[in-house]
Amino acid sequence: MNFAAVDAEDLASCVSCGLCLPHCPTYRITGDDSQSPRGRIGLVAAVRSGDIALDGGVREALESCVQCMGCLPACPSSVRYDRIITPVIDDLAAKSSRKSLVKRLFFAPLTRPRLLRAITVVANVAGRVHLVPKRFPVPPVGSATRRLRLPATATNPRGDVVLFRGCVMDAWYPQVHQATIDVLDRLGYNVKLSDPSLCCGALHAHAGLATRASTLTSRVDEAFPGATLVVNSAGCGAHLARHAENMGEVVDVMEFVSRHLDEATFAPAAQAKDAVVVHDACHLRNIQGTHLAAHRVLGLFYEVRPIPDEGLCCGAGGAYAIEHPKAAELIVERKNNAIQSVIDDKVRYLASGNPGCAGHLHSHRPASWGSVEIVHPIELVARALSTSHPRAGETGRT
Amino acid sequence: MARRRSLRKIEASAFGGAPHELHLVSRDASNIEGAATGFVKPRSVDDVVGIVRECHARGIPFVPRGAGTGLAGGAVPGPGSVVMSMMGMNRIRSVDLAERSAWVEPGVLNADLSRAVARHGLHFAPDPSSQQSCTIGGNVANNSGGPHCLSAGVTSAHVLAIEAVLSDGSLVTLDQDSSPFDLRGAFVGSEGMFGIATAIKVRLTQNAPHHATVVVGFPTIDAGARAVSAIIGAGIVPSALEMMDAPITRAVEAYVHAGFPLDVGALLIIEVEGLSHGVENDIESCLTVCWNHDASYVRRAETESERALIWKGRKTAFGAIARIKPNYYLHDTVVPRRRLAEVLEKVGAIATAENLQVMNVFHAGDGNLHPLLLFDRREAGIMDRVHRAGAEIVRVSVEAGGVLSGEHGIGLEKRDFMSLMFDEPSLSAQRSLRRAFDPAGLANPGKVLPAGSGCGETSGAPGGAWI
Repeated sequence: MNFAAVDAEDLASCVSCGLCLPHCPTYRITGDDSQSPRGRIGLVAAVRSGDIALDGGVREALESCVQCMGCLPACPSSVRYDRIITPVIDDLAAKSSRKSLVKRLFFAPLTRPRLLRAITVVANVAGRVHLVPKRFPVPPVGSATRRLRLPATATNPRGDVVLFRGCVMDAWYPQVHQATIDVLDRLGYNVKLSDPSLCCGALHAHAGLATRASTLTSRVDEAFPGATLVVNSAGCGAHLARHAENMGEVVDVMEFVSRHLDEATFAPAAQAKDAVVVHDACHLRNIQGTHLAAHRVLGLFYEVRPIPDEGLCCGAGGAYAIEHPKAAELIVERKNNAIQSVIDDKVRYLASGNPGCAGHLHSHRPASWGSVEIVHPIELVARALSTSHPRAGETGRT
Repeated sequence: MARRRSLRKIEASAFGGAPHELHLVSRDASNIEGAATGFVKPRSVDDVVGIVRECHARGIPFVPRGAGTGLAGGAVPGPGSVVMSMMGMNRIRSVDLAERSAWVEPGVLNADLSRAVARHGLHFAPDPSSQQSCTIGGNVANNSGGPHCLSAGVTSAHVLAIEAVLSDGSLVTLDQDSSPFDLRGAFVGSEGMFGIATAIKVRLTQNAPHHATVVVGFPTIDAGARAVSAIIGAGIVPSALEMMDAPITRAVEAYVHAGFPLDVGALLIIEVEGLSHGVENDIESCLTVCWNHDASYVRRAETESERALIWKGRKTAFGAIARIKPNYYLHDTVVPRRRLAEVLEKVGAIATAENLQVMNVFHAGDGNLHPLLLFDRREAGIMDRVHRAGAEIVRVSVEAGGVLSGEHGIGLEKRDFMSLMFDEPSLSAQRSLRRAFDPAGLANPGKVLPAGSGCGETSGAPGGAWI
């Protein structure tokens, strides 16, 4: 194996300046060159040229990448680290037989909604009696089997959109789907739902299971030709946006709301605002570049507090927290400290637009956060709209 | 017995760096290739003392390493060396708000230090363009500068004391109380050749209450350079005076969209900080000077985000260049301000003679040039032309009364140019100073001082390629 799929031009474009280093979560926790984007690029190049052998140390250094892509916006030379590390992770995964069996078992429920829900309920019960290790980011699911309520079809809609339900999102966060449906309806859009057996394949791609990922992605892509697909899981959205060919548009829910929310209509009355700390998912910040949409929209209803760590990754990274629990824990500790520095009595929420991050932050939340609720930003928008702008007939109308 | 065991343990780690780690720590941002034999990452002062003692007992050279962002090869190990990563020592030990100082370990990142004290309205003044990544230890080793060092002074003005391990393993504190001589001053800029700093007491600077940032366009570099001389000559010391030539301005504007004018021969960024009346007064005086020197364009940053965009343009200039050609060789020389225009003209001629593209971005206020030679290393014979042009640029800078390096250090890159500037008695005096700190010649040998002349020096100049 010599990483033949990596483009030589991409490797040559790194001038080793080191400006990526502080934006890499694994470099931040270790300070090791081998745990940095620059170092990993150097290792891939050295393995290809035969200068060093692909031993356990090299493999570990490359596999420890969270793939947060925080190095992409930090690179002044626009090195395409994503195009370098992705085929490398694929190569390494293809050669690892033991791991791929574990991975297959882990990924099996993702396209089987009933199985995933059953496992979730069991995991929840087990979690309450402390049988589930911290690294499994299963959130508390109070309403895992709740049915989604679709509003009556609007007579004169602004348009039709498809809400992508996904696998984990559908099993673990149905309340986020409901909030998304409610807000889209309030904006005047007809919402259709994707089938919950349609998994986008992002987690598979992240783990190096390229072939399986591609099959799953195509299924989603072919299901909705020309449609606008609204996604409320940043990880799924980033993956689909990059790989979909037949769909009209794949758009993160907060970006969609930001574009279509009529600020004049929805501007809330002046009042003491609750504060919300906004955690930017790497998929939004580093890959899609749309993380500010959540800040903009939430800013209409809440006092928004960014996390003062330049958007460093939280360490969730697909199945990363499960495969590299120690690194993931050190990374999230750093994130938690940064979050802690902006939390005071006014802060009631921590908003994250990605289920992986939300679960990871939840399982590692320190007691000092008190009653701060970890939510999806669209839930906060739904709540704000229902209290400050109730519909005719709803209670609380002013 | 216990001691033997611990020695063996140290030995094992000293020489047990994994092959992939040794490969990576054999180079820094200069991409001069070295060859590390061992790799260690101390986490405490005791670790450093133990490792250095062991190296001393066995005659093994050791090379301290921070973030590896140096551009002169200062952290590139010669054959048989142990590389000591200081990134495991990255604590801010203490902050003294009353004295406005802090004791920090060498692996603390420059920008992290400023971030950590920001809520007290303080910052660490030296601001190299690599400040996000580079370490305080590296700043001390190279006596680093940055755009705002024009008024604030370079690193040596912001280091109050140094705790260091010398090459025999002794732990010393260098400050004004411990010696009648300013040994702290000697240690700053010693490029790791006097020992290893294990903690640095830095001065913290109060954030200025007001600032003004203006962008001024001139028809020619000559007019801009004269304006810079005249501003300093008028007794004004702006906090930053940065110049970019026309080609780099175009490259940066295409990337950053800072609103830089594209029809000017040179662009000057002037920033003044201080109390509001002083700031307004100084910026007015600067602009008057500029108008008198044929300025053709003036724009003042009206908002903080406009100001940030201007500085982003300046500090990521090298990246913008990487979009034009895949490789660059960044030079660092200093010339007297009044000869800026003349030397820049010669730099242009040198590049033309070697058929290379050159762009200039520089700290005009202190005459610190950063000519960038652009090339594609896959072109046959290109490296010879780049090296010839580089050597010529150094030669014309020194001939104009300048010096070899402003802030990147001498390292391996400029070592063999030292005799252009220093005669044999001067070099000999510097060697003696080095020997006083490091008689065994084990601390980062082979750097700065020309090869083959020092006691105990391995001539270990790594050969290898520039990119």
